[in-house]
Amino acid sequence: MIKCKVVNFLFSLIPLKRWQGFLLSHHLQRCPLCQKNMASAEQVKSLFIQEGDMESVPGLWPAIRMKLGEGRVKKSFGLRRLAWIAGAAGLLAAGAASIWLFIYPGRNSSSGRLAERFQINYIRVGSGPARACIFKPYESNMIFVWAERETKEEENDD
Amino acid sequence: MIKKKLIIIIIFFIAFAFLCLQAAVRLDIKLRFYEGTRGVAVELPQIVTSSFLHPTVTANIPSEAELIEEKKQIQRIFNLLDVSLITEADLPWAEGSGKISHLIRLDGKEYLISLTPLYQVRKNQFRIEVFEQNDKGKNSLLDTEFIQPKGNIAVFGFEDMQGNPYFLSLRVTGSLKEVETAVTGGVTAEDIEEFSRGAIKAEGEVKPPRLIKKVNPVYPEEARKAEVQGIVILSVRTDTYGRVEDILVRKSAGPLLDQAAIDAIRQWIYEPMLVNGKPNPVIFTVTVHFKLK
Repeated sequence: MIKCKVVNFLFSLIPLKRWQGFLLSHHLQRCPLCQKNMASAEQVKSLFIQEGDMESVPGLWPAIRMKLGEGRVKKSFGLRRLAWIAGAAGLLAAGAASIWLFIYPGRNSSSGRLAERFQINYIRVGSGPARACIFKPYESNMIFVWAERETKEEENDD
Repeated sequence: MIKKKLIIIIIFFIAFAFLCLQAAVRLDIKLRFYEGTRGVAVELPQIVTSSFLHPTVTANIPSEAELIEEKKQIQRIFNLLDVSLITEADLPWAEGSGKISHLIRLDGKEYLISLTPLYQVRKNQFRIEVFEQNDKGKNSLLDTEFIQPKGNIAVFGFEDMQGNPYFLSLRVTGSLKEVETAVTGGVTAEDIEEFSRGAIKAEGEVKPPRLIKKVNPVYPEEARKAEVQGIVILSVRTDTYGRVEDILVRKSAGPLLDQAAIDAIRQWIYEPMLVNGKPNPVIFTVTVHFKLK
């Protein structure tokens, strides 16, 4: 036996499925409160027409469905639109974040992306490569590099 | 309706991306230039003239302990009799501003230090070039490209054309935002702006002028007795005739030594700065050394 609240809820789910319609009509036939709330069972009879029953009445059910569905279509369109906007905003935000990180990856990180090791790409003195020595004292944040011109004798030795 | 919302989102995105691109990285770079003594102690230049110094936040942060440690390490590692700081400079670099050039004049010689932060700024990648130059031409003393870990000090040693050892230390102190809270006072950007109004700054292609008339600073007796030593860095402004018309202390060595430096510099005369044949007031930097023998 279903209760009045459930009936009200089921009303909001129209169009109903066959079993829902049966439970609803069953309740309405027996519930004096619901019957009182309604003008008469006859007046609301059309609401309990089952989907299966409508097959024999071409055009009516699709018309009712269309009418009932309008609200839903509008509602679902609103949701879909909201979803599209949210998706687009999310994509744009992700794109912006990617650009941010790609162009300035070090901007927001204090040390994570920074070079952790001292590295020399090249070192020259005068017009040629230099002879270089690199030294880092123990437990110091200083790195010492000495660069000097390669002598001709050394160049010949090489 | 949906189109309007999409347009708003796209405009917002474009504005955001534009702001991302516009917000440039800024670095403060502390540069120190040392001269080493291998054998017999050499009388070091007492006065150094160099390029104009832009204001930086880090310039106001005391770093004497760091300086002493640097000198000690250079002397120890390179087995030198002595190491003296010739000058130091706090150089601001903003993304897109290209290379930083700093010219140093000492004892009739010119050293041009050119610092180029490279595309991998996030890795503190730089190119440093040091030239010894004169009217006849310039010689490359050092040209290197390196990646420096944040918080580290890189010290490059090299020899000039006469075989004297020089050292250049470089420390990147990060963006201004990172050090804002550490500001203790000192010369502000407004002070420098006021000081330099209407004058040409000796930077980039504009060299600091040559000193024509020099009066040596007098070591204050009181400072001598108290064994006060140090270097005073000053911004100097000359008028159209090359006379010193204004001085601003950028790095103090105490009121006694600051005043002694100011008293001497006020009597100096530089060659007039000509731009398109017309003399102009010019601003540059002077470093005065006070060292007890």
